[in-house]
Amino acid sequence: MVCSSVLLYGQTDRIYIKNGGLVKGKIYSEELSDTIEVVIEGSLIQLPLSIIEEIQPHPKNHHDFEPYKQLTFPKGWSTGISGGTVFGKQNENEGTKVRPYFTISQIYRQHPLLNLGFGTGIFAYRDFNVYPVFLEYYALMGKSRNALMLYGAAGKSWANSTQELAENIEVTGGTYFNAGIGWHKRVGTNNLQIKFGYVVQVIEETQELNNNYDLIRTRNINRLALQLNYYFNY
Amino acid sequence: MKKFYQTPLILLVISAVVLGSCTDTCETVSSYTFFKPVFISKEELRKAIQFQSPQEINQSGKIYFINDHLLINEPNEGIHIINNENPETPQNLGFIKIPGNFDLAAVDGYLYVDSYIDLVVLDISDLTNPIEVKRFNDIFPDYNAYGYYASEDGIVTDWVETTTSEEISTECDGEENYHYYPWGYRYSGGIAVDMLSAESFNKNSGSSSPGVGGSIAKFTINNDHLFMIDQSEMHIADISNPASPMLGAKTEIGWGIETIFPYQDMLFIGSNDGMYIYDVSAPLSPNLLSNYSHVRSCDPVVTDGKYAYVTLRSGTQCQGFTNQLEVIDIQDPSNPELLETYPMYNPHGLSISDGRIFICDGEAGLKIYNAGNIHQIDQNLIKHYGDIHAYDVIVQDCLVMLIGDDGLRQYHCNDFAGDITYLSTIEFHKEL
Repeated sequence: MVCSSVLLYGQTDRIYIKNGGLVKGKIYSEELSDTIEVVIEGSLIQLPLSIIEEIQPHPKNHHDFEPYKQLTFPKGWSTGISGGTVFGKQNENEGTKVRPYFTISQIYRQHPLLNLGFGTGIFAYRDFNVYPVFLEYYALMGKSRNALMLYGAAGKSWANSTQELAENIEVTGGTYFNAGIGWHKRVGTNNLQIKFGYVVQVIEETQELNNNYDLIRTRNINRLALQLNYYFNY
Repeated sequence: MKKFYQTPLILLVISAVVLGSCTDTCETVSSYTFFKPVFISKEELRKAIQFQSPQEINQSGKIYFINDHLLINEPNEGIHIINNENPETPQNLGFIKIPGNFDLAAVDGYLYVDSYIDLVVLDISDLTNPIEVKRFNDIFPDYNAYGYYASEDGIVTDWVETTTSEEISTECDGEENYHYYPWGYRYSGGIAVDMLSAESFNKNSGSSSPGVGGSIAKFTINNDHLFMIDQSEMHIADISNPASPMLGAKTEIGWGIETIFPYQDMLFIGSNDGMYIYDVSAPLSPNLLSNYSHVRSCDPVVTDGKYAYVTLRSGTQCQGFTNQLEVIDIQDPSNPELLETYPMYNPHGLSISDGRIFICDGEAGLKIYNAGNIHQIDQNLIKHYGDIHAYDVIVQDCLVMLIGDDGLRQYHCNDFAGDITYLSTIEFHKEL
């Protein structure tokens, strides 16, 4: 049995545990019952079916039982941090610049298609620092542990200039949008997301020329964003 | 499963293609507040004079005393008629609505008023039923008083605060070209500026007053002639037939005229840099006898025939730093001579009656001096009322009228003691 297991080592079945774990081995049981037996590196272990989320038999391993899938979604809160880069041009005469940004957020996982939360962060542009406060949403399409995701965020931001401005110029924030797609990976209570999307930050630069005269320049900072998120579920 | 990997890859490629669109977009809006003139046509203006029921006095302009009645000008609005037969209980009889009115003069039942660019003659034999009997159109073409002026669009009757915004640029990190409203601005001080001055003012970010001021017309009557000062010119009309004045020639008298005081065959004209004495014995051909100059200041002037009394004061509109009373010997009007100078606090209007000088000395209050010895006026203070704050004083037959921001107070002058006794107040409801 051990020899045959060694021969079949490259043809492992995958058993996904509900807590996010993954067991790779050769299923020894001929049929699904309350307990299934799996050979892992020559050892035979027993797994209760109740803790198994999905069994993916290797195609070359000919089992008599039907594919087993009992998808679950871990409802609850997640706290996450993320960092990334935005890239784009401040005006037509300049080349593309890459700038960093960081956010933290708190998400409630209600359903694969309904993950809703809020967050804040900082976007460090060349001439401005922008501090958004936003509502965040993402939807998972596929397995909750390994899925394509669509995300979006909208909110309001505060801003300040990183340049030394004249006394009569004031920089204020405005609306904030962020949307895109990504890939979601969950292992146990840890989640990793890679996201790619589009960010629009609106800021206003107001110059008071005299008591009766203002110039207000509304700037839409349009950027592509690449972002890496880490969430901890609890 | 492959589809899940392919989709983001495709989207990534699409995103890369649109990377070129990841550039800031900007919109610059110019937002400004200005005072926009409100025009009426000359035709409308010339139908507007009418008698109305009594109204509150908001601001006092010139005050005229005739036949026991007070005519109080409400600048730019008209004239309040006050029955003052009993100064202890003055009665407001009504209001003559006269748009653009700033000055008046009256004689023999006829009232002469300005109405923006026109001179109007009203029959006031019945003060509650004034009748327009004659109008001289466009006699003051350069009229520009307190921001109310005439132009091709009509006559400015009001200024309304207007806020507007307009997009002026879509460039990011570019220099914006400022945009100016072409009409100009009007400020609370009542000064109007033209388009050029407005731009200049704006570029200086409101550092100071624009310095282009208006002047109000000033009327007085002497020897059956009406003298009217408009800007720097003096118009003269023969009113020997009061109902039908005959306009005469104009005389150039210079800028900055503030007061005009008739005495016998002379006119004493106070300007902000001196006093002009004109011989008007031939009224249609006034002859400048002398020009007594002093530092630039505001200077009401009165005379008793032998001496002229001039107060000089400092202040924002007066551009001077001097506060004093000057006594000038005018017995030889061709050669006025300064006799005495007395320091004051901030003297405004003054009046002389029966050898007493009444001086409204700003925050220092009303001072009454005995002018019997012009060399020792400061040592002959009869009474000092520190709590009476007024900017002008009229003394008529021992009736003392003091005009302040809050009203016209009337007092009776006591012949022996030289002090005054309060009679009544006609309140002004100044709009803040």
